[in-house]
Formats: sequence, C-alpha cells, structure tokens
Amino acid sequence: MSKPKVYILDTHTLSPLGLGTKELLASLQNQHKAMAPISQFDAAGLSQTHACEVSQAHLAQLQELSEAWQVVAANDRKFALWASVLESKRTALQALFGKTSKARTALFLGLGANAFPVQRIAMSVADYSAFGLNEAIAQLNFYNGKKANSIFNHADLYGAYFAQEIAPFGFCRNLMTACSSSTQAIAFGAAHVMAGQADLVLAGGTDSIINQFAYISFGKLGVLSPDQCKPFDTGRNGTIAGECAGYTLLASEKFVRENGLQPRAALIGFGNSMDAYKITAPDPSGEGVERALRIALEMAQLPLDALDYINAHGTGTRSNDEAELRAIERIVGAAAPNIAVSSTKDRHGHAIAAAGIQEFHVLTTCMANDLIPANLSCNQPIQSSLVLPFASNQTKQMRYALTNNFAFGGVNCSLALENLAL
Amino acid sequence: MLASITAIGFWESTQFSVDGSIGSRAELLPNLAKIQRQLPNLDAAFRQLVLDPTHPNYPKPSDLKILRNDTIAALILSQQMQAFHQWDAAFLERGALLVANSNFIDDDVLDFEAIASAVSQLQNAQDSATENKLFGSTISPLLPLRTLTNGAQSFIAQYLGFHGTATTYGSTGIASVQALRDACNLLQIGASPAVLVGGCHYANLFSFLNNCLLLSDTKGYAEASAASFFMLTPFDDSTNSAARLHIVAYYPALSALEGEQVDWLFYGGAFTPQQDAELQARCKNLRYREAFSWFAHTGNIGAAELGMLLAAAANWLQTGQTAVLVLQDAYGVIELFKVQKA
Repeated sequence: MSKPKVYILDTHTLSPLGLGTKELLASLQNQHKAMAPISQFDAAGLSQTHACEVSQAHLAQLQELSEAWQVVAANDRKFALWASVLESKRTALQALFGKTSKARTALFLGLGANAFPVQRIAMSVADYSAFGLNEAIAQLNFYNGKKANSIFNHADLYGAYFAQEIAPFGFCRNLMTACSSSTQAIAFGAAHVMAGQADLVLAGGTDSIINQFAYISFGKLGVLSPDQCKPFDTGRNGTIAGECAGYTLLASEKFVRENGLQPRAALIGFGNSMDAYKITAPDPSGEGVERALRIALEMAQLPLDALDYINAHGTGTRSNDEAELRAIERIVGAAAPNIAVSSTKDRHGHAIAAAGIQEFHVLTTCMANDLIPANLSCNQPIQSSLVLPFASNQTKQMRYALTNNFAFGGVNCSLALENLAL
Repeated sequence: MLASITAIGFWESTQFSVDGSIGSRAELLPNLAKIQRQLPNLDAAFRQLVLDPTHPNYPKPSDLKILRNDTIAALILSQQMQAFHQWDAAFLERGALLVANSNFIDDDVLDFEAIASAVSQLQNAQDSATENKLFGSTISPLLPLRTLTNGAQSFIAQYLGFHGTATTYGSTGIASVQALRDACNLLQIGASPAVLVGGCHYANLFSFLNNCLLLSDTKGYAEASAASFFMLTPFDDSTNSAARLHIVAYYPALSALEGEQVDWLFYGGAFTPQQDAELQARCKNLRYREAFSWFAHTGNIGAAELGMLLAAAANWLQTGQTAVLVLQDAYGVIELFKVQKA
C-alpha cells in the first residue's frame, strides 16, 4: 500500500469550549473546564447535576433560520448545534464547495441516537388516545412531515440541511456507532478520498445527550461521575456529559494543488477494530484498542518512536482508562517515555457521537500551536511508562499524533495525523 | 470493475437463503403483508418475521434483554451464513463488517401507553427532584442499550468472533448502498481483504407510522421485515460461485447511463405501489430488457432491500449480462450502480 495522505484544510466545531479554533485554543491555553450546572433542564435530585454545555450565545443564529428549521432545532438539540456550526461558516463552506463539481464532494456524518421528547409523546397520546395510537403519533408531526419528524428525525435530515441551505454535494453517509461515530466518519471519509472517489469531504457530526430523558437513561448505565471527570486518575469514577457539532474538511492532493492551498496537517492513517467481547463493556485486556491503534500506525507507516502525542479516549471511567493506557504501552514499548498521552474530556465533556470531531479539533489545534493539553483533573495518575502531563499544559512540537475513540458495543477507532508545518 | 460479490444470503418472511438462491420469478409469492397486520383507517399494512426461540442460532437468553428484533434476525442470518460459507481468519481479523439499519427501535421499547401513564405521575410531582426521581424509576437501565444504534454490528461481531473494521449506517433504504460504496473504498485502498455488507429492517408499529407520515398518500403502503448480507472481495474472475456478480461502476445520476444498453433494471426503495411505478418511470431513459422490484412481493424492506436485489440479479442474469441497480431513499435521493454476472 502506498503511503496515503489526506489533507486537512480546516476543522471547525461548536462545543462547550467555544465556537471555532480561536476560542477553542484560548480555552485550552487557559485550562478552562466547561463543567457547570445544567441549564437545559432542571437536574435537581440527580446524582450529577452538571454537564458541559454549549453557550446559548452561540446559538443566536438559529433565529435567522426559516420557521420550519427553527421548529426542528427547538425539538432536536443536535440539529440546533449542527445548523449553528454550519451557519457560522456558511460563506467559507459555499466558496470551498464551489471549487469542485458536486459529484466530487461528499459528507460523512457521525450522528447520535434520536432524543425521545417523552413529555410531548405522552401528552399527544393522552390528547388523542380517543382516536387511536396512530392518530396520536400523527398529531406529533403537525409541523412538517417531509422535513422533520418530531419524534424521530431520519438520519438523512442533517445532510439534507447542508444540501438545502449551504451547498449541494455528491452524497452523504450517516455513521451511527455511538461514541465512535464521528471518528469513524472521519476515517471512512478519508478512505473515500484515498480511493479517489472524491476531492473534498466534509466529515464530522453532531450529538448531545443533555436532555432529561437521555441524561437520566445514560446516567443509569453508571458511566457518569457523581462529582468530576478525572481521566487517568486512580480515583476516577465516571465521565461528564458534553455536546458538540463540527466538521473537518478533507481534501485530495489534486484539490490542494489546483487551489493553491497550504494545509497544515494531514490524516495519514486510520484503524478500526471490534472487541467482539461484550456489548455492555469494553474488553478489559484492551486487545481491541491495541488492534485499532496498530492498524492506524501501520497504514501511516510510522515508526513507533516518531509518535509525539496521543489524544486519548480517556473517559474517566473505571473500565476505559487503564485498559487504554496499557494497550498504548504494549504498542509503543520502549518509546513510551517520549510519548505524551492526555484526555481533554474533563474540559469539554463526553460528546458521545460527536466526541470524535470534538477531540479531532482539539488535536489539530494543539498540533498547530505546540500545545500538549494536560490531564487537568488528574491528581494521582495511574502508574504508566508513558508521559501523562497533569496540572498544567506543556509546550512541545508534535509531528505525529493519534486520536482515539471507543464505543459501546466494542467499536474502536484511531486516527493518525501528521503536522505538515514542521 | 470495482469488486466482486462472492456470497449472498437473505431472510424475508417467505424466503430464507444462505447461498443466494431464490428460484425463478414465477415462484415468488405475492405480498402477504395485509394478512399479518392491518391498521384501522389506513390502506396500508406491515408484516414481521417469525423469530423462533428454538432456532439453533437464536441469541443467548442473557443477551435477549438488550436485543432488538432487527438484531435477532440479522444475528440468525449471519451465523447461518458463516456456518455455510466458513469465512476464514483473514476476514474475521482484518475484514470489514458494514451494517445498514433503517430502524433502531422496537414497539415494546417505545411503549406509548406506559410512557403516558408514567408522565401523568410525573405531572403530579411537587418539584423537579421528585420528578427526576420518578422519571429515573420508569427508565430501565437497559433502554440505552436496546436503542443502541450499532447493536446489530456489535452483536454480529461478538457471535462471529469478528475483530476487524465495522460500522453502522443509519438512513432509509439507501443506507445499504452507502455501505456498499464504502466497502469498495476499503477494498480498493487495501484496508480490508473482504467486506460483509448487510442490512436489516424490522417493521413495527412505530417505524410503520413514522414512514406513513412521510407520505402524502399512503394508499397501498406496505412494509416488511428482512435481513440480507453479501460478501464483497476485490475483483476476481477466477472462481465460479453461484452468487458471483461483479460491481462494474457507480454513476452520479441516471443521466450518466442514458443510451447505454443493459439487460436488467433492479430497483427499490418504494413505499407504495404508486412510488414503485414512479421510480421505474424515472428510469425510462435507460435501455433494459426486464425490470424487477421486490415491492410487489415484500413491500418496503428498508436497508435489507439491496441484498435481496443483488440475489435476484445473481439468480436471473446470464453469464456476462449486466444490470443497473437503482435505490431510492424516503426523500427521493437515488443511488445507482451497474453489476455484471460472472
């Protein structure tokens, strides 16, 4: 296999750490943690009443949308985030998508499961039960059956918004693998460019679990920390919920050359694997994680000692962090003392299906600014031969780095990036 | 040539095949959907597969509490295909499993009546803390797992001992074509030696009504349940598997094929007889000898449709003959590609 290289033109997110690269960088440099009391619903009485939320000020552009889209946004937080992040870059996106034919472009989106607007369903059932259940459900969809279904939006809706409001594209893929969704969207989007099927791919996704139903049901899985998310700390006790929408723009060499662009980073490898262990828990041996990382490094044709930094999945849960560290140690062996590993989930929260694009943006921003983000909430790090920076960020040039995400069901995905500015 | 299909299997209520064989067109049964469930006030119907708990490949009892019906159907079919085709370690370790899903919920997960009753209790709560507590007590911790979007992918990997690349596509009927195109990418760049592409759709009251709401006219709407899988390998003309088809090329639009002569048109994605006729009419500028859609025999089968159309192509094309496959999603977006019988 020849050495693949997919150019990263730009990455843009709307997250609890701000809108766009500039705000994200400032937040990372200031070591800001976005965890705050939940504003989207009253979480009184729950074991965790905090989450990392996108600031309301960043959603102001929703008021400019047509009424039909506003209704969708009001009922579907991940759509509200998606529309907002796209609108904030509308002109740039339109200009870029105008540089090649529609057939040579594609969207690869990682999407979360649908939120259940339970109260609305229940009220509708109560109001219309005299007419039968089918009538009750029909009444829930009184706004615009074609564009959006207020119980369940078809996954195609998010691409449809892009096609109708931003720019036409060749086609859209919707990848739905829980916490690895948008990481895989980037990997499969890169494969599409590598296979010569497109010159420009927008890959990313959107998700939020900060609503009463999802938050309570997610909490029941026992993965939310009752206090703080502390990745790689021996006393870690769970993750913290976040939300994010965003994308990265992947381009072929031809597109870069023809448009005289000078990208600062490239995606040079990806690795996917399945634990095939248990649907409810990751393989404690970390074998699946190890496999995904090895495949990514193989594709990138990277010697192990070339790796500078790994942005870990690092959820802060008992089951993830140690298995992930041990898997990395087995792969890099003697190179471990030169490789920094950190998780930024304690700063922005776990954005579930959008965790991949959230952390991809953290990584590209850090690489471009020689910034190794510290494990801020880690006070007593797990013993490891790897470098686990804590307390404060470090400065280091990074030529090669990985970002990892793993999901329920035992799905693992790792992406390898190269800093082209060095 | 982009790739070759070396195995096809499918399960629809009247047909089960691990080797892709479906017999002749004359043997196909007409749509029996109305027999299974007819809703009042709608000229529309759906039917479900009969999932037999005594089947030797039925999932383990400990897994059943987090398994949806679509996943059970996909699990039974994929295990049967594995037993028949004996896919090797190269596939299980480094291959890919790309699963298309067009519904993520079971009727009993979204129990409207139970929710209504729980919410009426919630409305009596004095404060948010009590409400949240009551809410929590009505939600099973297993619910997030039963609605897990990648459930089928993950269970299949577990039951088959599959450790390679896997993902799930969520969309309407064309999700499986999205999976097929990504499968070709993975083969082309050498990331996987073989790719199992599958789709499952399990009609239930919720998906049925949800889809009805997308239609301006539901007359004759029929939805069925099915699962299908096919194995894709790099292009290879050397073996003589009965299911062997080659993926010739994709096309960005129907107009790209105008004037080209093919032997068959296989199309799908329609929800109603009217949509079925309209979709065939959209292909009027293609030159073909025969056209076929599963609609009249099964109703809409969502993400499982592509595998069954490929089975029809593998069975009815003569060596060297070509066909165009056209699939449409709920919003009228189409995907199309050409196949050739080996």
